[in-house]
Amino acid sequence: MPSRVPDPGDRVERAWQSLMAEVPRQRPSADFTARLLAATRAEWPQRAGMRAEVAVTAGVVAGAAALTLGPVLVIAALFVFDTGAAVEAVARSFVWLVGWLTAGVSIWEVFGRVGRIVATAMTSPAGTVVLIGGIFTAWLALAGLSRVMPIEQGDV
Amino acid sequence: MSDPSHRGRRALDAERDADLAVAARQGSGDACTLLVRRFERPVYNLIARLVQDPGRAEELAQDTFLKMFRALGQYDPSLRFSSWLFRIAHNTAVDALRQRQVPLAAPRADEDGEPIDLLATLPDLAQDSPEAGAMRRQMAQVLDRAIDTLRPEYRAVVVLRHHEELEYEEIAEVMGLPLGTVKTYLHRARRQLATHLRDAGLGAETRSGPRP
Repeated sequence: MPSRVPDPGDRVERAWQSLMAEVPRQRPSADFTARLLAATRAEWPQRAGMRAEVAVTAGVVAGAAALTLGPVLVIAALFVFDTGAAVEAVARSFVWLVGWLTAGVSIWEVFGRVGRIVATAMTSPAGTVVLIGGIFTAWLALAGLSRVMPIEQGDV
Repeated sequence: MSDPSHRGRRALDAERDADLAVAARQGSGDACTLLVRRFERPVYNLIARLVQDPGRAEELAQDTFLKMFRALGQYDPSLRFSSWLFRIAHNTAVDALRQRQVPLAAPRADEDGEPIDLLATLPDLAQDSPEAGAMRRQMAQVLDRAIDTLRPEYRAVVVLRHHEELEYEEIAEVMGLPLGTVKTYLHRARRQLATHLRDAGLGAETRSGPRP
């Protein structure tokens, strides 16, 4: 089996590689790793789930902080500022809060829900009987009232 | 550089680096830490050799890693991660050199000068005596200083080839140069380093004359 004749180019490569392996590398200062990790950490990619967790956690913490600090601030305001103005501000804030909470409620959505409940009740036999019974009772009540009302009006 | 075991080890390293980069991109903090720890020294070594200012080199190495993490979403795992990162580091260092107005013009054709037998200048690898070891260490010290006298492009080629053991094609990719230019740069860099060794009275040629 013929032996491979070494290529002079390969021998030059190996000789340089062997020699250069002993040439010292430039090294950064001792605390460079810690500084580099700290400086780049803000740019590290984050998991999508982790981002959502961070957002939810931040929201919960902010809400809890607001609920805790809110009354404290109101009480502090009662002592520090004019009491009447503080009470008025609290009342206004409740009105605003109720308005804010009900802002998303539509009257058509309420009608729709009521209609769905009535329709659901009427589609079952028991529901139909209860509904007809309710209407009959209401009619009797109105009829009775119409007989009573003129007498009372006459008395007045 | 061309033996199968070396190629196999490099392939495994490249695969592991690509896996780390993908894990880092998906948000693994451990993978980010490992990437920083694995490449901080090679990146610093390349930049420090280029800018020749340790403090500035640390700043530029930090910039390199910041750019790397910001661009990690664009990394193609089918490419070698180290080449991608070295390209960012090289460009960062070259931009800094340009700001300092260090000339990066193409070398002249007459830099070749008188022909030197590169193999004859180097120590005999077959020798394993204490004297040969001492000679090699002495040569390494001369080369350490001589590298700093090379022009920046040559320094980059020498570091990428002989310290980071990149293939010629990878060096061309990192530096954005044609393959032939990389070979020319490396040849000229070795010639200049060999001249330094010869001037220092080191190397096989100066000790026992040219080899047969």
